[in-house]
Amino acid sequence: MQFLGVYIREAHAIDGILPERQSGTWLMGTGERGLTIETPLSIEERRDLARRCALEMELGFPFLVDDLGDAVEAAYAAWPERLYLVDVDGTVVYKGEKGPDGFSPDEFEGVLDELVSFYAGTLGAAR
Amino acid sequence: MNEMIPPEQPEHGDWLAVHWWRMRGALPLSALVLVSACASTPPPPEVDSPSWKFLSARYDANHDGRIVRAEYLRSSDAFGRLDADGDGAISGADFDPRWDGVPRIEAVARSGTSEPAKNGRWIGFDDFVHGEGGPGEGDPAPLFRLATTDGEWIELAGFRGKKPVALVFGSYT
Repeated sequence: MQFLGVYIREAHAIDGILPERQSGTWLMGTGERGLTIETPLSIEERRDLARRCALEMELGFPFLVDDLGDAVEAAYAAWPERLYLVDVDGTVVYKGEKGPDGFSPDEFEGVLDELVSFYAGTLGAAR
Repeated sequence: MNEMIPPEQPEHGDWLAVHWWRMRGALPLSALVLVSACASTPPPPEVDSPSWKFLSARYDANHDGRIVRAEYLRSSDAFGRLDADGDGAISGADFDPRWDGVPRIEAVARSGTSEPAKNGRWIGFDDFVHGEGGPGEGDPAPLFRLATTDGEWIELAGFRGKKPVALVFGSYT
């Protein structure tokens, strides 16, 4: 199983589509983390932000950076966050609901478990 | 009988004539003082918003508590999104609690109302987030080739026939 993170448009950049309003009530937690982020304007800025993000979250897998045209994000309708599982033959096996409500690591883990046992079963049968 | 002769008083007009040259010089100065006294507005109330503090420190060049378009060095779209109440400037009022969580899908010329309107400019968060799109289960996953934060190029197609891939889309905030 290969995990790939894809860094896309910021969910709550202050000049973005859904800024977290900072009237003293922090809605989505970025305030608690002390994050005031403006939309990155170049691929280098995006990469820098992605790097900070990967560091803070201790991401254990590669973090790809989508281009400024948000092409991959658009192809996967992934904003603000989403999980997909792609099978070995290149087809989508699991498509998570868009986050944050749909971002369910538990559900994802369930799917992973199924996939793993499927492959294990196949391997067992092959012996 | 002595006639009391009042000291010669200049006629009103004369008085003006006598003093006009003095007043003329002073007038512009006093006018200036008067005008600037009227024009200086009280400083806007302090707004407890980290975003406003961030933006005002960065863009409010004349420190008048308002960031006008000329002071904001980024795009007009972004300016429109930040100017929540549509009054033509980014100010503390744009960080009032009533704007919490209001999505800024489009930020074009406003109708003059400062209430979010359902006419294509402001749409519900649900409508926006749960819009359709992306490959469905059973569909081929769109291929792509992107660079990692370390500059290494990775292609989705490279995993075909080798490993299943878990794609985790997200951002920092």
